[in-house]
Amino acid sequence: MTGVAVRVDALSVERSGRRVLDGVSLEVPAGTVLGLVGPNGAGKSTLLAAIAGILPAATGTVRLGGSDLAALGRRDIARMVAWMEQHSANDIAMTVDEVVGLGTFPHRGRAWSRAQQADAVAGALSAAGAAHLAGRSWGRLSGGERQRVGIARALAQRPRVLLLDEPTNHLDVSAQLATLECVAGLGITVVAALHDLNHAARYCDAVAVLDGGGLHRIGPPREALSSATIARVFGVATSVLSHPDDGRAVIALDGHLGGAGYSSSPRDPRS
Amino acid sequence: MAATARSAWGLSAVLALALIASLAAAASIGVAGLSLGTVWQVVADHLGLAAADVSALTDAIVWEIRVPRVLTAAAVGAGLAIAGVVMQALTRNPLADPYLLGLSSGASLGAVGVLLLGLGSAVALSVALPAAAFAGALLALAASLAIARAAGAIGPATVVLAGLAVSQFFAALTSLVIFLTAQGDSYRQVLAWLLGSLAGSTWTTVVVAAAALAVVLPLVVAWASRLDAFALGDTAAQALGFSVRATRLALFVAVSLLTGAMVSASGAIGFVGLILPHLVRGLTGGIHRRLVPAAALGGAVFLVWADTLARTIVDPRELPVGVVTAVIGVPAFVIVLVRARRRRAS
Repeated sequence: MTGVAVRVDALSVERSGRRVLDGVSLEVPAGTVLGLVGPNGAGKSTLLAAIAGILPAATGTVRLGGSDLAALGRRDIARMVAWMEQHSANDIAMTVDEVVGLGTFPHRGRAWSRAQQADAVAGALSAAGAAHLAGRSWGRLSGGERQRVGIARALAQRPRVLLLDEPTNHLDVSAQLATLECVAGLGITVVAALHDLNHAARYCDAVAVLDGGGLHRIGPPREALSSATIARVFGVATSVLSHPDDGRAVIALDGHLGGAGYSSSPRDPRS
Repeated sequence: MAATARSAWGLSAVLALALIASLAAAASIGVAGLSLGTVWQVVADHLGLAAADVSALTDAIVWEIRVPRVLTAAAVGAGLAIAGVVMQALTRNPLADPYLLGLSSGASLGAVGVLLLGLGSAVALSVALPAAAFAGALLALAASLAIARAAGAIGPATVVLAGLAVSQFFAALTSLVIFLTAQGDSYRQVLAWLLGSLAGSTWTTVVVAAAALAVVLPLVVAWASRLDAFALGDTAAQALGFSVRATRLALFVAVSLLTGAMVSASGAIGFVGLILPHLVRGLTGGIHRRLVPAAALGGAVFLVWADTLARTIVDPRELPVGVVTAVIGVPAFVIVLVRARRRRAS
């Protein structure tokens, strides 16, 4: 796939009458990984939900491979965009195959045979590196294994774009890296909201820094995640170093800068 | 470990046979000692299959009392089990059921409120009773969810606590209405509405309970895959291409309808909607296409036998069937709860 997979143009989104995303424009080239970073409430989840067609645009547009999301039906969108769930505490009485099979929901119907269904599940499991988990009971998987099954579940939807909202929550460090490596290695277009700036720097082709519902900056990790940007948006002092092996950005946290730039700080002068 | 698809369907087939056998056996158990053969003769006679040579009294006991009663028990058991399955899926809460979340008490209050109006005609009553119970169930559900939301997150514990509050409140109002209005034995009536009793079963209750099943079951079966998808969480489910909000709303209404119809027939019977889904899920796995039919059949068999026990164990008096379901249901529930916790911890 070439070209632009996702084009967001002057997008604003409102939630219960409040504008939570304001005038965001960005493009995600097909097959690349875009990381969304920003403090809590910056609009990361809202932007993801708008790209998934779950929250409607108040103004502006979201285009997927050329088609305007607003003109597409739910099912059509579901065949193009998958949202990976967070399985932190849910207790699901299903096998791994059954969970992955849920992803085929938007494709089911007259055109899909039982064999196609089984193929889709097996294909998704192996693409996510989870073929060895087939047939296991979901309840007995580790956190990292569940995340892999979650990726397979999303892939069974056969999406062009995969959306992830903080996929590394509740995972130990090895499962965090395994999950991100798996996602980055899929070769499909990915938009992921990430908390850890070093994860964004390591696994994303581009990073969008959101703040207060607006797009502060977007670009390759080294450009988007500058010390000045991080200080302004997150209110922390950092040194951006170069990795000795490949020169990629490594962000060392130096300390908290106080209230400036961090609107939800308890030291907010207005309170 | 979830079972394979084939063994899940095998379970449903076994339960269907068990239900037929249970209906026949339960109809022949009772104070008036009637044999299975006599019961069958009366039933065959009414179905126009063969003429029966029995007394008018025997005929009335079988056809006007026993048969409607076991059929009502089966339909109510199936309905409560389905209501439990659906609520557990929609709220992602293993503790959700129409009794614990207050729907049953709300339905009882609605039904008792209609009795307060003193509708004279039996036909008007047979429509107004389930309709008011439905409204009461809907109100109680809305109240439980609103309280849970106001109290913070819609987590398992919050929802159950909110349901408990609503349930106790509506139960108290139900008792109050009965004591203010009842002629005769008000204590017995309070027990029947709040603990559940199938002693008032007639062909009308069979029709009401079966009609509610006939409306709701096809919807639940048609949306079985959507119920599966709720396990992924609202956002991922929505991204599969259906409206989570509209589905949840429609199914909440359907569950309230089911609960209203069942409670108008039998009062608020607890623990069927809680226990049966868990027991059956352990055998069929969590895929609703297989779970729903098996849970419905299991609920039917369970309530037929619970009621048979209730009306024979302290013979000649009757126990409210809710006493039996609670005595069996609570320990079973504790086991399920501890197991689920262990599974999560390991």
